[in-house]
Amino acid sequence: MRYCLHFFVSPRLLPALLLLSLTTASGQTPPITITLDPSPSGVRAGLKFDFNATVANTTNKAVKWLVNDVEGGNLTLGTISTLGLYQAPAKVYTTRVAIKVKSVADPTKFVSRGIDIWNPIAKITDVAPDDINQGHRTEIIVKGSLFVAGAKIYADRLPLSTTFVSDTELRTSLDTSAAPTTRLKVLVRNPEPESADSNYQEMLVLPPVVVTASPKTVNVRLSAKQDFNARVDNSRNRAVIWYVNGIKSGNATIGTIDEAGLYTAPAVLPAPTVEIKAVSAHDSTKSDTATVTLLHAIPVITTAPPSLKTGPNSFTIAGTGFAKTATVEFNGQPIPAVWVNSNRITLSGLIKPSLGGYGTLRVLNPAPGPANSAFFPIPVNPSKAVMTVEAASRFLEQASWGPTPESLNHLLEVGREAWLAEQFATPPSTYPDPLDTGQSLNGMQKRFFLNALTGPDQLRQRIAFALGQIFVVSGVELSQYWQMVSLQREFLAQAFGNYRSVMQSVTLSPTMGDYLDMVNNDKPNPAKGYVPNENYARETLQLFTLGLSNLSPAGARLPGTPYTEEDVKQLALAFTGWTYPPEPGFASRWTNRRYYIGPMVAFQDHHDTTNKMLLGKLLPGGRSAQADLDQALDVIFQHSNVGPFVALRLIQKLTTSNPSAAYITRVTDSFNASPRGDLKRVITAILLDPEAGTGPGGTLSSSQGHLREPVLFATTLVRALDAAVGPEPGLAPYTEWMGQRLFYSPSVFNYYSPLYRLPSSGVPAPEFQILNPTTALARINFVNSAAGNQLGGGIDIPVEHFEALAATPSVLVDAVSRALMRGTMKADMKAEITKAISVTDNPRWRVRIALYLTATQSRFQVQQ
Amino acid sequence: MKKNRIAFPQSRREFLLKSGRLISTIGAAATLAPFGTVNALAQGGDDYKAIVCIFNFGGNDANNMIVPMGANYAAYQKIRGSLALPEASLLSTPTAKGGAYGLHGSLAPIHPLYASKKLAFVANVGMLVRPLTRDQYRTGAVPAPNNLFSHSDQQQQWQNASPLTPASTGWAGRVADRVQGLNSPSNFPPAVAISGNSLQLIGQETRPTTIGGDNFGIAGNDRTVISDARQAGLQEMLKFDSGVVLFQAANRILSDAVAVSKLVEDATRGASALTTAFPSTGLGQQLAQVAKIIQVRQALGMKRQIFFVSQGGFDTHSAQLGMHAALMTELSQAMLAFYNATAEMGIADKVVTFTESEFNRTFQPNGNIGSDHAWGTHTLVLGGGVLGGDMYGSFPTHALQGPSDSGDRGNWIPTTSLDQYGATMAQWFGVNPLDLGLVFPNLTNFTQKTVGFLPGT
Repeated sequence: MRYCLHFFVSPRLLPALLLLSLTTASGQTPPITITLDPSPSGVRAGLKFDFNATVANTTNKAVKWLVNDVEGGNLTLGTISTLGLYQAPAKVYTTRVAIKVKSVADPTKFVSRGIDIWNPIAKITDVAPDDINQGHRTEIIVKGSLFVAGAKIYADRLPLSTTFVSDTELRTSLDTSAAPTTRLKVLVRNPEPESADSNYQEMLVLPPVVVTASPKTVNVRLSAKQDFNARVDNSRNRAVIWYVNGIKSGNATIGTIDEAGLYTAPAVLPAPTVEIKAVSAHDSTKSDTATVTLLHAIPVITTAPPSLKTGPNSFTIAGTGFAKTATVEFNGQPIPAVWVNSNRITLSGLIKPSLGGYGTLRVLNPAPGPANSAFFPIPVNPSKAVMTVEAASRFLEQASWGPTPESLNHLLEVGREAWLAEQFATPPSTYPDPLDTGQSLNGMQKRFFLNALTGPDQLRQRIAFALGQIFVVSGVELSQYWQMVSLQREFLAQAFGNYRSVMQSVTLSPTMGDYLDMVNNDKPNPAKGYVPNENYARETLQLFTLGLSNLSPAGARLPGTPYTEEDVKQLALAFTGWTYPPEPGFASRWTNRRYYIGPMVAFQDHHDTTNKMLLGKLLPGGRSAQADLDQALDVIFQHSNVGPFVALRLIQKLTTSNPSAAYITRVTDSFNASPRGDLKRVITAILLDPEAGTGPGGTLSSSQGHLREPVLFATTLVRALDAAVGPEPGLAPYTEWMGQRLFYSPSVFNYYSPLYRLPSSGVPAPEFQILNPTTALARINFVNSAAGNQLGGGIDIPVEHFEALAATPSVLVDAVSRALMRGTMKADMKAEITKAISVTDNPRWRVRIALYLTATQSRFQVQQ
Repeated sequence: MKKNRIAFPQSRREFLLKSGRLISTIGAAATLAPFGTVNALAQGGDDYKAIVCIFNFGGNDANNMIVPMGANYAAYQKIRGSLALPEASLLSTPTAKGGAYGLHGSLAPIHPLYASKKLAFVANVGMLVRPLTRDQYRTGAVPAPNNLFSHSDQQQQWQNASPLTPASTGWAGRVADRVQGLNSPSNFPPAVAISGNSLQLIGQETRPTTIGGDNFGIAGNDRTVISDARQAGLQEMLKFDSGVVLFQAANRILSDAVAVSKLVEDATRGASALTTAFPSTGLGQQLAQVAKIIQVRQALGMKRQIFFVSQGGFDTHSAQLGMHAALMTELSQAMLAFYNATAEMGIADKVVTFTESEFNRTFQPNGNIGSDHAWGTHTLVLGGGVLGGDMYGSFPTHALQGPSDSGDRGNWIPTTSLDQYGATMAQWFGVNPLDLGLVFPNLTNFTQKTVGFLPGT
């Protein structure tokens, strides 16, 4: 078994072994003989061979073993043990050695046998790679043992040019044309002597490598990252090497790509596209490309000034992704911008007052891949402020049709007195001439709102509107434009004049003459049983000048009445004899046809010329209609009731429904001062009074303020929201639903009485007379339309400005508070609105709800 | 009504205890009726009453609404002069005692209802503190109402029945205070104006509402998460109390608006339209709205309702005849349509419609073929339950400076006070006769408390 385990005997050795055995058996006594067997022709390096020596004819059987006469051999010759086990050298040092066995008993007796030392048979443990792509020259490493210099690697019996690296490693390269799926047998053949094949290992032939990069085409924004994948087929080596525009890993100008295929676009646009290439690590001839279309980044503003002042400004914004060709908008309007780098832009331009006290900045990157930054809100403040926002807002609510961002900014900068002076010097808004007698009042309503929403003569219009609600005429009876327009112009023209002049103009107005029957009022006709019409006489006393009770300068009711039924009759007599002005081209006669341009004209024949007593004063008989009228109005005007009467009404219209006695007294005093009835002085006294709450030290009691009547409610909301207004704003239908059909007072008693008090508390609150659930719903629904910019009628509310702020509820609510609540929205209200808008992310709905909930609130419905 | 079955008798008891006195006409039915019967009543002959005031703003020239005929026509014609209606144009309405009177020709639509005894007139009604003669008025021996001839004051006095002092509640509101228990547990307001606010409907506890036309409701409430959040915020914030009087007052009305619109929306959902057509006039559409609300009375849980509608334009100082005829046409067409609607609903005898106006006009015309402010006036009362076909009160003597004239132009001193007129409605409606003086403080100055044009008065 040893033999089998330790020796390898070539078949060629067998005859020699046999011969040795025969010779030994034939000898007879003597000489000592030694036989050596077997007799191999060679032994492979590194292997062992067990020799047997038989000594005959002596009892001393001991032998010595030598290799090339060296006892025991050595490492290059091979060693042999005392028992004859030959260990061939590890490699072939010499191709033949002699094994000699010598008798110890007789050293002359020996046997020598020459044997070849053969190369070993190589052994393969690994062939790498174990697959190979067709047509691709592949470096192959064969590992194993017993490789001998000159060994050759064979692939399917084809010798390959082999590099001997060591006795454990060989290398070669192979470019096979074998068909895919073929399994190439790889083995190693050591060279002669006795060259022989090693074991083999199989190497699978694969199709050529295919690289597929994805995505093939993609848009990538500057500085953004894009992941690329490369699929490598037909190789276990999936690795690829990435290139950008042919540069491995790219660079900052064209973008970089990491080993995993993550591409990072450059910060600045180098060219419209770059090429990404994935090259197979296994076969560098195999690759695939993808095309990146570079787009500008989505710009992001991260830093801007904490606030801006109105007027010229230069400032810098910082952020990311600013394109070289980026433009910048402030509140939707371009502002000159200088690009510094993709993180910095400097801006300079005129900053206008902003809706809600917030401006919004936005960077707009152009093509390729145009993109805008999110809106960046910045508080905008006046360049200087001589009063608080709260006081200025309140003042403009009292003295104009409501503050706009522009008007608020202006007042803050100039202050109340200068503002009043400007207003007193501003000429009236206009109403166009009537086109024909069939024209309705619709156009007049639209013109009214156009003037109110956009006209510069804000205070004048407010006063004219107030006068029109004292000296009431109504479209219910005078429904044509030409019937009404002159008196409206008159109110505007005389708003800063004298109350006595207003009385005169109204009394002689054909509009009022028609409405309250002063026109064509004839002197008594006893024969026919007619007496003069009392209508205008009564209402001018009751509603335009004196009222029903005697009044103190503080407006308190005193005992007694300012006039009697007899005064009404006497005044009616004094007012007789007037008819319409003659139409151009027609002779004037008693009575003229309806005509409304110019004052009424008198016909003395139809004027009562008796003595008349009015308010205790004699109007002597025999005088002209004009003289009687002038004196009658003088007598009325001089009555002590007129001051407090007018004071209360104008205070109510401008500042508060419920002025204190002291407030009324102060305004009455200004009315009574010389020249009596100076409206400019009265208006100034009303608006600058401490109780108006707009000056230093002003105070407001808990019962002050007034409900915004529908017309004022509508204009205040529309102006506060900085609406763009077309030429014919259609607000009239809304105010009609809210209980105030403009120019259509239900009667001469106006839409509501200046003496109306709240039923629950008795507090004076005239406008509340037309607030009821129906009109309250109309107000709520008006707000709903405005908040959604759905008013129509040529009114465009820039809700997108608020939408730009909607991402941050606190900013949005603050802007709404500044726009509608003078920036004084209470915490409870803010919390409630924030809660409501937080149910949605949609900016449109957030804005809509925030505006709706604010403007429907009593704190907005009521001006205090 | 079904959902209220259990609560209903309990609240009824609470009402009876609270009010202290039984209201005779309805108390028995309420306490004795088993639940099922109450429900059956609601379906058919339900315990329901409504009074509907049509206020003619501006001072209706009642002198031309009801005109003496026959022997008395000449005096009318002579003084009325340019304003006199031709006798032939009048629609004859003889009184039970044989008086010859005629309606303005433009009242033709309701003229047949006089013959069928659904329509009555009340002559010379007006504001009085106490009965008054011409001499007493002229000498001031007996107090007269303040500010006679002033529209605003007389409109207020007709509504608050308070001729000498301002009063913040109206007589119909005070009536509602006393019958509101019958409507329990409904939250719907018992007093409803259709156009504008009405002092007449304000009570000590009664907070009237105004329900206008088709725009009554909150726009944009589409029951999404967003609109629900908006609505919740709106309602929540209306509860904020800043201590500012006007904010509080506005909150109250805005809250009422939100609440009432919800009740109306729920009650009217799915209701079918009445077949009765209403004229497209202002008054016609207001009464159509009243009919719609009455139609859903059961869904609203209402048993007593007071309505206030109005018609303006009566201040006819000049060119009166045509204008007044048009007003009479609008009035009568609307009243007829409304009567027909109540008949369609089977409750004609449970609804009384009546007119008011702040004053009559001077009998003597002015120089503009018009008339000026005067005093005592005539009114119309219409309803299936009205003891109609007759004139109540006494007609004034048509003579300038005569016994009926307070001055020299035919300003009639009323002979029936607004208090008596209103008390008649109030008593029929369910106010305890002993409580009438609380509703009409000056009723005590009149011997006869009611005028008798309704049963039980």
